[in-house]
Parts: sequence; C-alpha cells; structure tokens
Amino acid sequence: MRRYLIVLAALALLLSGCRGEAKELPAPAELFAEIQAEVELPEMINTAETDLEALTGIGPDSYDSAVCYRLCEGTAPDELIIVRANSAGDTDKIQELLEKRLDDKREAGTLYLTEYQPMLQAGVVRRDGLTVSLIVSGQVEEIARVYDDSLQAVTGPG
Amino acid sequence: MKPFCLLVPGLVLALILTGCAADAAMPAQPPEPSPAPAAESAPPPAKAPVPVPAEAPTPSQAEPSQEPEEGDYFDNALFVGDSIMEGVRQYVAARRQEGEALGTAQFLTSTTGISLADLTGDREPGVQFSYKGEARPLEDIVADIGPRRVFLLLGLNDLASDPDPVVEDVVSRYTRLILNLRSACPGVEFIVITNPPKVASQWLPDYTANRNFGNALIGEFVDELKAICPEWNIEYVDAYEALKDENGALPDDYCRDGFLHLNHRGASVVVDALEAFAGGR
Repeated sequence: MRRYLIVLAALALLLSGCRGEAKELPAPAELFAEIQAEVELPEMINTAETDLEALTGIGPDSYDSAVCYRLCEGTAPDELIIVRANSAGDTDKIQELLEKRLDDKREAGTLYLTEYQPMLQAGVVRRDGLTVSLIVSGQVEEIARVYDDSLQAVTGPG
Repeated sequence: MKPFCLLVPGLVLALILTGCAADAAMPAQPPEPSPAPAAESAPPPAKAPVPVPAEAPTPSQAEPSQEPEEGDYFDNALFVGDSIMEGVRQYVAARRQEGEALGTAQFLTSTTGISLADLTGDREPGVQFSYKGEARPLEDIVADIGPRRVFLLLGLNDLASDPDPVVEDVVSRYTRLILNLRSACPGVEFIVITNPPKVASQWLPDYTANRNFGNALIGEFVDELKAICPEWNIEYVDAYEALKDENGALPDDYCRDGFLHLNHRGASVVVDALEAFAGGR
C-alpha cells in the first residue's frame, strides 16, 4: 500500500514539475530595455499606442502588453515590435500579422529606398511562448542573443 | 486497497496536470499559411477603377461630426502622405515624447514611393496605403478613420518615377483624387500641403526614373497646384514656400539623405507652417 502511495506521489510531483509556470520572456517593455542595454540601437520611439494596430492590425484585445519601436528619424526601415499575447490562439494570429508586416516591408523595399533591402531580408519574426516579435534592424543577431540569454535565464541551463 | 484503485486516480491526476502543461513555452513554430502579401507596397489584386467623383456617398461610410469644434484644430485630423510625410510623422512622434504636437492627429504614410497615379488607378499595378495590415483604397481608410480633416502631401513620386512627367496631368490627378475623396467622405475637409523642394545637389537616387527630376520641375508643379486649388475650393498649406531657400532649393540642413527627405529640422518648418495655418482658422 505504502509503495503505491509513494509511486503516486512521485508521479504527481514529476508531472507538477512539468507543469510549472510558462517559460516566458520578460514583459515587452522590460525585454526592450534589456535589448537597449546590450545592443547599440539607433534612437527609436515606442509608438505602440498610436501605431501598432494601424500598422499591423494587431488590436489591443489580443495582447497583454506590447511595444512598437520605430526609428526616431531617418529613412531606414528599423522596427522592433514585441507583443505579449493574451492566449495561444492570439499568439497564432499575432504571428501571422507580424509575418505579413515583414513581407510588406520587404516588398516595399524592392520599390523604394532599395538600399535597405539587405536589412529587410535579415529581418525576422520570432515566437517565444506567448511573446511574438518582429525584428528589423541592422543588429538582428545581437538582438537574438539577448532573447536567447533572457530565455536561458528564465529556463535555467537545463 | 487494490493497485488499480490507486492507478485510476493517478491517471486522472496525470491527465489534469499534463493538460495544464500545454501552456508552457513553445519553440517558434512555422507560421500558419497567411493570405497573399498585400500592404504598403503590394499591388492590388485588380486594377483600381479610375476615380470619378461619385454622385452619392456609400451609406456605410462614417460621416464626421458636424458639431462645433472643440479642442485642438488638429485633433481628429489625418495626415496622409508619402515618405516626405513620414519625416513629419517622425518629428511629431518625437515631439510628443515631451509634450504636444499637432493635437492628436493621426498619420497614414507610405515609404513605398506611392504616387497619385497609384491612388487614382492611373498606374497598374498600383501601390495602395496599408491600414491595419491591409492594403486598401484611400477612400476606404479615410472613411474608416472618420477624421474631421485630412492633410495630403503627395505628388513628388509622380514627378520622380515617370521618366517624362507632364505637370498638368499630375495636378489633374491630385484634384481627381481629392474630388473622389470628397464624394466618398462627405463632410471631411481636404487640405493640400505643398511639396518641399529638393536640395540643390543634382544627385538622384538610383530608383528615380526621371533623371531630370529637380527643383525647376517641383517649382512648376507647386505653382500649378497652388493655382488650381482655389478653382476647386481646396485650401493649401504652403510648405514649399516655407522650406525653400533663396535659390528655390531645400537647405541641406533640412534634409536627411541629400535628396529631399526631411529631417526633424525640416519637418519642424512644415509643422510651424501647419500651426500658422491653423492659427488663421
């Protein structure tokens, strides 16, 4: 009897360990601050309140928090959008909309201000748990490292 | 107690707990198939009809309030334009970090080289403005936003992207666009912002198809535009006049790319001209 109870308790512990808290990146504003601290970015302004929905179609009902950093001044297509979705379903939709935003920016870059095409081609959309990000920057790799480090800090060395 | 008596609740517990675990972080997944790209730079699926002033507005379109204005003149205004207007948007966004600029006006800009020919359907495939992630006709976007007034800054891409542009045709497109917008969005005021000149340097980016694009052409276009606006009861804010130097060129220190795109300093001159215009209302 006791042996079965021990097995049951071990099973419950094992499974509750898997359950844990969702492995999430820091909130978008906090994550951007980390990026800004680690990577030399051009001066950017957070326009999430006024521009995020107009640019992407991502409405406030679908996310918990977001930042939408755009270049303060200049013709370059730099853009850093980080959105923490409300749910996995919202995450799918946000990812789709950010993928489309990136496609649109790339296509625009074939028509005008064509010198930025390499930056646009290097742009990425990444999904980490409920966080979806669009990164168009001359420092995509460095920014990705900040994400990876941040995830590592959340999940531990494994 | 028999072993299966423990196994059953154990399995139930396991199922519950594994179900909860589904929300844990997931690796990046391939995106769901998305609809064909259609945005700032995307061509529309079919040729847009040449705008003709409609007799009646579409019933579903939002009509702006006709009540007396309250608040800032630029509250509920929409600024529509190309990459030059994008410079104004950037400046206004920066100013709003520290205070107020142009009330709560919204911006709809495109950095795709959008032209009047695109918007009137004279060019195929035409580029459209993108709003909420979708390329849509400008009339639809304006109707959706429902502003009180719309400021337009367009036209230089028509002059720069056509190897041999005819100024009268470009001005005619502008008035056609505005008449079409007026018909589609009754009650909305449409105001033109005249285009800035380019810098004095003869350098042109590779994507400029008109290798004769320069200040003589821009000046001719602006003069023609200013002449025709009163005929159609269209008001204009003369940014061209405010920006040009004694030689009719954009001062280098107003420009961010050695061509014609405005930096914050240049954009501040446009915003000053707008505020002066509003002050006179």
